[in-house]
Amino acid sequence: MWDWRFLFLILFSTVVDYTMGLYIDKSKSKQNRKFFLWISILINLGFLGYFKYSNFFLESFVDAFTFFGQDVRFRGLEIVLPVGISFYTFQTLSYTIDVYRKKLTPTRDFIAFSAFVSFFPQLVAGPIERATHLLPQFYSKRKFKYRQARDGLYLIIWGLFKKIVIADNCAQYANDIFENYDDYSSPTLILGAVYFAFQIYGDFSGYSDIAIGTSRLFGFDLMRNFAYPYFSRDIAEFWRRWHISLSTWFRDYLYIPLGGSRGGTWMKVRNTFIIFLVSGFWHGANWTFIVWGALNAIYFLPLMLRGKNRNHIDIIGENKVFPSIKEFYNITVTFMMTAFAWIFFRANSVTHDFLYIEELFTFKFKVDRLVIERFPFEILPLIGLLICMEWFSRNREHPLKNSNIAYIKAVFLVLMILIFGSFSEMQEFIYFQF
Amino acid sequence: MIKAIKLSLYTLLIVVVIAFCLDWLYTYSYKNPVYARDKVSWMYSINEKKIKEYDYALFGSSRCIYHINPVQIERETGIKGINLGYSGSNPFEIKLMVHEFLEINQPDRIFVQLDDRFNRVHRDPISITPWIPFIRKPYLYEEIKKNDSLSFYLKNIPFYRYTQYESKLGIRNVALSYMKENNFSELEGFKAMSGIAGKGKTKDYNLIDEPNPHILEIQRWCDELGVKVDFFTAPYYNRTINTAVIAKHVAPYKDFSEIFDDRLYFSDPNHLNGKGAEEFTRIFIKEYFKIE
Repeated sequence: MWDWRFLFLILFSTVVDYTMGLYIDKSKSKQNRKFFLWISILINLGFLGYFKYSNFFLESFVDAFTFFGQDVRFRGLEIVLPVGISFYTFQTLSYTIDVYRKKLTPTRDFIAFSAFVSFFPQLVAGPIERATHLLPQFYSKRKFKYRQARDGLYLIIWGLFKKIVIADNCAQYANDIFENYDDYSSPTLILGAVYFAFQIYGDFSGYSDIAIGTSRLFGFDLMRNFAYPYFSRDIAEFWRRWHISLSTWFRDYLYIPLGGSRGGTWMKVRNTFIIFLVSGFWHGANWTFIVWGALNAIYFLPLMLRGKNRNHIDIIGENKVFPSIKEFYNITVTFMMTAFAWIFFRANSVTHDFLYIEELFTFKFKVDRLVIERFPFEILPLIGLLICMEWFSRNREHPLKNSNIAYIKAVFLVLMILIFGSFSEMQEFIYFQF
Repeated sequence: MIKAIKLSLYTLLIVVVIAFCLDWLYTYSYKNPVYARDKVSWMYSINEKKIKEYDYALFGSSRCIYHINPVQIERETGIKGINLGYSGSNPFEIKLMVHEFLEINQPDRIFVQLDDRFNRVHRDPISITPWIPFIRKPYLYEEIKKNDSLSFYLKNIPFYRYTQYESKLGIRNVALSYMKENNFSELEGFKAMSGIAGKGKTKDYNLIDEPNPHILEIQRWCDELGVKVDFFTAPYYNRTINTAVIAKHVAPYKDFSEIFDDRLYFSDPNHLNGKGAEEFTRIFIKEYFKIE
């Protein structure tokens, strides 16, 4: 939620990290450097913990006491989650950690640092930028570059297509199916999971593309956040292609410091679970996100333990028009696993998760209300268009990049947005809540 | 920079051209539908083609469309009529329908169904939708402008109106206007509801003792045009309504709200089912068309 008073929060966070960066740099002893780093970490995570997780922990304690027969009453604290806090907290943390690791010289330009923390295109939902990449861009004088601005414009159009045509149309059905799951047949519940998978992809990657494109109009280059994740051949590849800025953040600032994939089996299992559980918990103060994270850890572990987690680092079907049967099979299985995991992400509670899945596996086949009243398959051709456009540009950043017919594609996408865009039932970006 | 500005302007121009073309295409589909998707489009298509002439017309909300069958009336009396009620209409939308219909047609009389919405003076945000493709008609624009701050943009920005009302007027509806027959034109605008109402709880509608300006306007037009206008309230089940308020402000008025107390005639407390509509149409004929 937005409230002008939250400006002081981001300002305070900015001042703290700016100051700690300078202190870390000035300190001679490692102990002092560590001390200032911890101040930064504790203040940032303290704010995040208070605003985002207080109610969750208190409610969980109450539930635990209730489970053991104690009657504890709790009304919940009236805390509003400041918009973008999860994103800018991680962004500023990357600054102090990189200064501590001597990867970055702390800035003395407070305005540049403030602009880095609150850079408007990516403030509310990422990509989570690294200080090493974004901060230096504020120092240099910007020149207008036509090619960069044009590419930014194309990326904005592509992002709008994914958000307004794909995500918002899928959302109408996914919301209905998830809210009324007990009315629907198993095939409709499968459709609900598939629609949510495309809703969250179109919504979040669409936002990222709009943010990156907008930045390019101003001469800034932001990191790529999605790289066609639904063409992944296994879960490890999926996590290299989905929400890249968060995955790499966790890899660099949590997974590797914990020991990464070095050490024994137990260490590998522990670190994998930690990173996926924390990643799930980062998304929201709800057990559903933790279960979602745990499920992804379970998917990922067998690959890592067999040393197959980096099997697919090339571009799928490179120099081929279509994937091989094996590749197609792998993509399909990975998508199904991902879509199944998204059920945990979308549901309102863990109970809702399991009830949805239970209904899905009762194998009820009937012509249900949704099929009679609304013909829910009408979105599938649009999803097919998205898949085709992405498939034929999978070796490029986005379908309009370096294309001879980029302008024609852009006009076509504008046409699609006008005709098929869901304007009257527009949904807020899902990741704004995080 | 100049190159970028040129590109932006060029793109904007293309978007505007596309928007113009789409606006024309959509509006054409609503004006000349193969199968009109709503009562407004249907009314205009038969109005402008002058397919039939009607002796009377019925106006109102869903409590009009589902309650009186003009085909049954024609069969029993030989009098031709049309039911132009549609779901969710407030007196404002009823007024628009009456005005647009009377502009071309000259029936002997019209009937207006009034009920618990009698006190509403604003547009209904959903029921206004079928009028949006026709917002460039001067009368409609002037009326909608009084009720909707977006009306200027809806009228003047090409295709904006179709994006704002996309879920009701969008591509799905346009496509269906070429593909799927509607379910009301065969019975001259009447549609039967199915099912039987549950016993449910009684509900009271308390009308405020005030005239409705839109209804007064309808009365004034009819007087000027020499068209007889009758007001009535269709049956309710398990509902009470102080129809005395309506009777005080409009005339001639007939209250049918309590003529049925058998729930087998109702699909829900506000709507008759097919059986109830047939019986009510019979009573309606006796009352207004003097057939014993």
